Amino acid sequence: MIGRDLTVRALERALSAASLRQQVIANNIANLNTPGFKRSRVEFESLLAEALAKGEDPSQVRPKVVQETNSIGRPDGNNVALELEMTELAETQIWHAALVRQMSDHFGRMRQVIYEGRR
Amino acid sequence: MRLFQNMAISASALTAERLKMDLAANNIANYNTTGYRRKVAVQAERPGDFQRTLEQALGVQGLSAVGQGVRITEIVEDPSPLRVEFDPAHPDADEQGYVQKSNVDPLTEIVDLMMAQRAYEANVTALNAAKSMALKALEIGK
Repeated sequence: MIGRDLTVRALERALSAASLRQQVIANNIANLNTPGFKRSRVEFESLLAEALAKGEDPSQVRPKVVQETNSIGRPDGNNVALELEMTELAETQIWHAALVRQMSDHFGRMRQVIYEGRR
Repeated sequence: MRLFQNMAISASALTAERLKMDLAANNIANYNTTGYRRKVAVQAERPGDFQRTLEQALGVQGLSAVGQGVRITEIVEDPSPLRVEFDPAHPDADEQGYVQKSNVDPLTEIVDLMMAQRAYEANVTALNAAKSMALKALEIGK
């Protein structure tokens, strides 16, 4: 965790969640043809919303890996749907890029404040 | 570092799917080989490291509770009966003139090949996503 800046801490958490989500999706795709394999997903946004609703510190929310054992899937038990995984992958990539942009903008603003204040 | 772990997961799948494609190609190539039994790959999710196994046993939800891709556990021979052809002139023909060829079905092999190729392409996309996210993260603060 980086310092006491709440924005940076929250963004860093979200970036970490995005990276974890990409990892889980990569594992789902890797096991596309593995008999009996059940896909997993990463829960983060829902946990964040819960924390905010309860008034808890949002930067303490940790992402959770949830395995989807309830869906039946194909005859061999594998429930990985390629279309879903590819869509989630694209969403995660864009989310990650947006977070990076926000983080950069934040640092850019801080840098501007420092430099402008020097004059 | 978790970034390279992402890529290792996709890389394991690329290796596995490539192996399956090689097996399918080899089966097709040996369609007419006397006594050849088709080879099939058995794949399973690659288990995590010791820490992950420990965490799962304790019921703790850790960040390492993610599978590490896929691996081919073994290559087995299909035990189904061989195709018998009547060819008395063949050097491997028995007393009645029958030759036991292979048990390869080209349709099955081609379907397996297509599935492996599709999975290969999907994993390349996943690998590129991991790479692009890692490169993007390097641009923070620039």
